[in-house]
This record gives sequence, structure tokens and C-alpha cells, in this order.
Amino acid sequence: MIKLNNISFKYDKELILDNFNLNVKTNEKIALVGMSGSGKSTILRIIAGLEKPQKGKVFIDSKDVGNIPTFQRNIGFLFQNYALFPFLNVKKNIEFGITKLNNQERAEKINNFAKLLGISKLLEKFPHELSGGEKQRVALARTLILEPKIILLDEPFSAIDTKLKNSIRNDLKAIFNNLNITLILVTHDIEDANVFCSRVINLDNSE
Amino acid sequence: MKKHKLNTFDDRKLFNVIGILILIFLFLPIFFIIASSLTKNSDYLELLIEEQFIRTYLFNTIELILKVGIISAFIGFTMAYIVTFYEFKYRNILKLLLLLPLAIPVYVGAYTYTGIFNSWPFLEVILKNNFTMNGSVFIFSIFLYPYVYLASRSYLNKNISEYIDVARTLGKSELSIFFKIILPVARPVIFASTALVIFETLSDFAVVNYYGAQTLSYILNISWLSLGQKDTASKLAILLLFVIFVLIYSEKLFRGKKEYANDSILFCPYKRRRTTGKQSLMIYSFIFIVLLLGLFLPVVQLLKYVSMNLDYIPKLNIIKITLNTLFTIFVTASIIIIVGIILSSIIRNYKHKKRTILSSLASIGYSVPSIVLALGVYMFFINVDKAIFFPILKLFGVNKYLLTSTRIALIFGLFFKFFSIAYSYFDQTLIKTGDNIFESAKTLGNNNLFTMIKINLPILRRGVKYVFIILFIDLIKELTLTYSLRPFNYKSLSTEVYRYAGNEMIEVAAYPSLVIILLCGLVITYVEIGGKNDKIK
Repeated sequence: MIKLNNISFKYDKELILDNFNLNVKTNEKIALVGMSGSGKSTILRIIAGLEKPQKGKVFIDSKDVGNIPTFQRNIGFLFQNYALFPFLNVKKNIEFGITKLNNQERAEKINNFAKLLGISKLLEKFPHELSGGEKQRVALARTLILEPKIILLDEPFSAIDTKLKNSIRNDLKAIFNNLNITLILVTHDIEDANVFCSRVINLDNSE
Repeated sequence: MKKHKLNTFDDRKLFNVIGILILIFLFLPIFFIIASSLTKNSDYLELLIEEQFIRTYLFNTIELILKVGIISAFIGFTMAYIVTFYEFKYRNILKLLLLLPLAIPVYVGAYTYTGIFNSWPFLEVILKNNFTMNGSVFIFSIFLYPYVYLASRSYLNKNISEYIDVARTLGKSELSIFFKIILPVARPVIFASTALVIFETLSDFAVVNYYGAQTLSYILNISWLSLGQKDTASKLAILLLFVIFVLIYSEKLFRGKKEYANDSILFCPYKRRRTTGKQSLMIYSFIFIVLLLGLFLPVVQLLKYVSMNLDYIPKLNIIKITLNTLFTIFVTASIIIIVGIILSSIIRNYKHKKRTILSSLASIGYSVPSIVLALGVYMFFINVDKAIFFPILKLFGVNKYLLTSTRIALIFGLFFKFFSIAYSYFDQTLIKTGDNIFESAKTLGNNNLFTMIKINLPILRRGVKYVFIILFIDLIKELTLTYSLRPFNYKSLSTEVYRYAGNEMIEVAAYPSLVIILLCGLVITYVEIGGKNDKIK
């Protein structure tokens, strides 16, 4: 379903990815692990269309998406720090991507996803009033509400307290298991990778 | 280990007292205005109220600041957006040129445009009309927009990339991202920098005087300096302060619980997009119009004046006046920087709300219009003179004031106005450094004084050059305070511009004007280009 073909990417003059290849099947859940600077996050950004590789091609469902802008790719992306819009409350953050729907559809969807992620009571709050775990759930609701076929998770647990991490990880695992979705997780923690994914790719070893 | 006595004595009380004294001192001008405004209304003020002049001046002031605010915010933010998000040929040089209208004082711009309008009458039709309040809205907007441009540019570079990425993955187009992300995220900086533009607009009396826009600053100036009605001027000053108070707090009300910045996110610099042919044409046209009106036309006009009156140069004593101006700037900036370092180090010892309140009090000066501050400083010094020095000097047969209308009064006036620039910078530097570093110095057995000398000073030292540069630009252009508080026969570059222009000798005013523009332009260029590798950037 996702195919990266001989991707090379330079940032300034530093070579981050050199002829990188990746194949991810539909609904497969894989993890990319590796040290800082190994290019894990860059791979996610290239798949999402946020970065353009200097060389190589990206295929989604066998289609070359090189010229398709990010906003037309229907890929969910959970950023490392969640990047919730600080000037919008939780409800407005979640509905940000579905403003084209009518009011009733929108409200229905927001309620469903808020219930799914256990954040129904937080809808009127602003991001600075939430804990790390709550922020993560809101960001996830905002991403999942678009019903993407692919979800990219960039170090989703790095901003969460170690004590909370286990319970949140199990909750998220349950949520993702119920969704037919292709998932790519970027992490430096092999335990995260093992909990979520059926395949782990270590970028430190791959050429 | 043996420690020096100075290192270990408990100086907490001493620090608190010094801090409070500085804050009280900073409030003296405002206190004297409030005290003076509590007197009975003069016949003159009664007349102004009766004939509804005050209402007219108040509405004109609101109209002026709203129009100037909106137009300068539009120009400044659009320019900042263009240079931050688009890559085009000559971007770096245009980025610098867009800053340079800041080097032209608004009153110089106003005088210069008289000549420009004479040469290009169609511009007068477009720019000098009822909407622009006889041209004053245009003058303030075109020469003050760089405040918004500079602040927005720096903010957009640091605070936005990740939000844009999120919005893209959520299916938003570029246009939608501009309106739904970029504008809301930048709202606080747009408001704060536009507030600076408005403070500058309210501080000016020369432009409104010259273009006949009847605002509160205009009538305040006439009441005090032309008619000697200090009490009436104080009441008008209170009204002007009230306008500013409403302006600042209305934004806080609108903002509600919303926050705009997220310190936990590390933003990467934004990767600029290459412009298409059509976009390039639009961008170049817009920048060209702004630079033509805000930089090229005024500078060319001033050069034209100078070249037509070369024989005037020896009569102007321009070197002496420049040195005199630089001396005042150097002394004022030094006092501001020293007191700024001390007060920021003292207030740093307070926590949470107390610190926020004290910091706000210390930063209030810039928001007080210069004409109001000048009046307050004048009243402070004249009261001190009358109460203390005049009776003493009289004993020795000297019948004059010791402080009023002296360079001391002028320097302190400038200090009250511009202190907040240095204070805010030092305070923010200390906040960013975090409390731990200072607390660890204390746990190692150092008192406040030694912590300030050994820790705060080295941290703040790097910013001194930057603060001095900002103060230099503000002080060299400053007219209102300098003109109102200057000693007899004191000449600075700005007062000379005002004097000659006021006497219909705009061609002669061009000389000191060009010196101000040249010095400011050099300093701005240094910060933008020369200081690139410097840590002050």
C-alpha cells in the first residue's frame, strides 16, 4: 500500500536518507526505530508530503503521490508535541479538519470520537488546561476524525509521563486494533514498537 | 572556604527597598499629572467642553489610531508574511529595505511629503484627503509599519511551522491555512506591535500639528506649550491615558481564556515556497509601492532639498548639533541600561503574580504618550525646584530653577519614556534563563548582590549592545520630549528639524533630517546584516 522507492533526502548539506526503500502492506502496523538523526521522522514527513525528497518516489495504493499536496493525501499525522492549536478549544481543534460537513454531521462525529477517546468532558477546555495524556487523546481525535487510511505517529509517547505511558499505550493499542488502518510508528523505544506493531524496522542497521 | 563580607550579608531588604524606590520614581510623572488634574476646571477647559471640542478631539484621536493601526498592521504583517513564506529574487535585500522606513522620523516624513506633493500633485489627491485625516493617517502608517513588520517577521519565523504542517495533514489549503492558522497564531504579535505604532502615533504632536488633525495630543500640546494651561493639559493627558487603557484591556477581554503560544513545541524554521510568475509580479508590485512611498520618495526629496541649498551647510553647525545629540543619547542610554539591569535582577527574585505585576509596572513608560510624560516630568521637576532648590538658591541671591528645563530634566524625561525597552529585554532574558541557575548560586552561599554581579551581569551583558541600538534609534528620532523639556538654546537633530520646518524652511530641515536617517539606517543595517553572526541576533 505504501511504497518508498530509492528515497534520498538532504537537509541543508546533510544527507539524512540515502536510497531508502520501504514497503508497507494495507492495514499493516509497522515501527521505525533508530537513533536521533537516523531519519525516522523525515520518512513520515515525506510520506505525508511535508517534505519533498531530492530523489526517489513515494507510492500510495500504487499511485505516485509526488505531485499530490499534503492536504489531498488523506493521511493522519500525530505530531511529537501534538501541536494542538492553542487559540482553539478542544472541540474546535477536533473539528478543524471537518468544517466542510454540516453542523449535525460534525457534532455527531465529534461526539463519537470524543467518546471513543474518552475526552467528552474536555470539549470546552483549551489546550493549556489539559494534561499530557489528554492532549495526546485530543490530537489523536483530531487526526482520526478524518478517517484516514494511513496514520503516522511521530514519537507519540515522548511528551508523556512514564507512569501514565503504560495505560495510555494499552488504550491506544485497543483503539488501533479496532480500526482498519495502516499505521507507521516512529519511536526510539523498542517496547512501544513491540506493543503496537507487527514489524519493526531498525534504521540504524538498514542501509 | 573564606567568603568576602559583601558576599554573605543579608541584602534582601536592601534589594526590595531599591526596587520599590525605582518603581515609585518611574511613577512620579504620572502621579504629578493625576495630582494636577484633580484641580477645578479652568474657564478654558469649560469652553472646550461646552463647545464640544473635547468630544471632537477624542473622536478624532480614536479615528486616527484605528485607521493608523489597521493600515500599518496590514502593510507590516503582509510584508512579514511575504518574506517569511515565499522565496523570490532579491528577497534578502528587500527584507532589509522594508525595515528602513523606520529610520525616517514621522515628522521628517510629514515635512518631506509637502515637497513631494508639490512635485506630484496626483499623490496629494490620493494620500491627502478626509479619509487619511488630511494626510496624517498615511504618514503614520507608512513610516511606522516596520514595527509590525519586524515583530511579525521574527514571530512567524519561530512559532508557526508545526501548526502549518498539522493543518496540511488535516486537509487545509494554503489560503485556509493563512486565515485559520497564521493569522490567529500571529494575533498577539500583530496586536502588540500595532499597539507600539499607536503609542508612537499618540506621542507625536508635530505631524498632527503640521497636517491639522485635531487630536488630543494636538490640543494638549497647544494647552500646555502655547497657552501655559498646565492643569487643563493634565486633564487632557488623563483622557489620553484612558484611551490607551481601554485599548490595552479591550484586547485582554477579547482574548478571554485563549492562549496563542505553546512553549513546549520546538518549531523548525519554515521552508519558503518558490513564487510563481504571477505571485512574483504581485509581490514585487506591493513591495515597490511601499518602498517608493516609505523610503525612496522621501529620501530623494531630502537629497534634492540638500543639493539645492548647499551653501547652508556651514551655517548649520551640524557636527556640533550631532555630537550634542549623541552625548544626550549616550548618557540616557547608559542610565537606562544600568537601572534596567538592576531592576530586572531585583524583580527576578519575586515569583508568580507578584513578578508579573511588578514587571508590568516597570514597563508602563512606553505606553504613556510622550507629550503626557513630558508634562508629568516638567511638573515633577518644577515642584521639586519650587519646594527645595528655589528657596535655597534664593538665599544666595540666585533667582532661577535648578532642574526645570535643564539637560537633567530632559535626560530623565527620556529615561521615563524608554526605560521599559531595556527593562523588558533584560527581564525576558532572565526569564528564559530560568530560575535554577540563580537559585543554585544562592545555595552556594551568595547573596543577591553577588548573584547579580557574578551571574545576572554576564548573562545580560550580551544583550546590552542590542538594547543600546534600539535605544539609539528611538532616542535620536525622539522629538516631543526633547522639544518640551529641552533647556534654553539646546539644539538636537530632532529639534532642529522641527524648528526649521516650523519656520517654513523645510529645505534647511533636510540636513538634520538626513543625518538622523543616515545614522538610524546604518544602525538598522548593522543589526540586520552586520550583526548576523553576532549573538545579539
